[in-house]
Amino acid sequence: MSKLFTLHSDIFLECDEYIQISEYLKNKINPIEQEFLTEGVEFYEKHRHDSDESI
Amino acid sequence: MKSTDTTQTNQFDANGLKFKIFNPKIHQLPKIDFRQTNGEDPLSVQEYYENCILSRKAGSTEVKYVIKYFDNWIGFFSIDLTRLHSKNFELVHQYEKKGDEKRSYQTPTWALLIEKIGIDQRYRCYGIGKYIMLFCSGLAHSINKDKQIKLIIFKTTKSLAEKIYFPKYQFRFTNAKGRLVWAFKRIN
Repeated sequence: MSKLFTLHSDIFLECDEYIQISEYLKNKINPIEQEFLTEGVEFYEKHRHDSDESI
Repeated sequence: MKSTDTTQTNQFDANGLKFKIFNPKIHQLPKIDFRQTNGEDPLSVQEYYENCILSRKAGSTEVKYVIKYFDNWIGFFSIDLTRLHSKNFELVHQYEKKGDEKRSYQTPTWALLIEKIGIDQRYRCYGIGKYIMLFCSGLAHSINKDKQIKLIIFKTTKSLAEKIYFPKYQFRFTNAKGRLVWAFKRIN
């Protein structure tokens, strides 16, 4: 999935927490969330090479 | 504000932020106070910073980013890919049977986990948390070509979730009896 992550973790949620999240995921991304995501993509693109610079 | 001797700012210039993958061999960060203003550390952020970043020990699997504002180190966050499961599969299965939609919850949900977020006490109230969320959203999107990652998720206090993460950034949060909750938001 990504070169950034070589391993992954597992989280075991309480049943009600898991169901809340699963219910939430049934809906598609809404316009406000999409707007934030779009802003996030632009922000990340601007900063993704920050680590390449000197200290 | 581009000073190294004072950190209290009236104006914040987001162009001064840099997000660097922490390299213990080259990054030497100062001691920073990440506790809440009341001195509490309910999310063990200070403890994590001292044990995993300040000590420059390698070893954990998560990716750590350290944040610079012009010449000053002001924060960090650590992230990991994670799979979400239910502790009690049987109860989820019963719920699934009652629901209208036939959907299997047996398959774990992939998420980008923000393990820790630390912002220097002196740099709070400048929206740095939002920039961290934007960065993580963009990062998750960039590594998610196959659309497997569904969420960004992190543990926070119920108070922060209610006052900041939901109203400002639309992060939902789990109903919990205790002080801590899971905040989460879909990314596709």
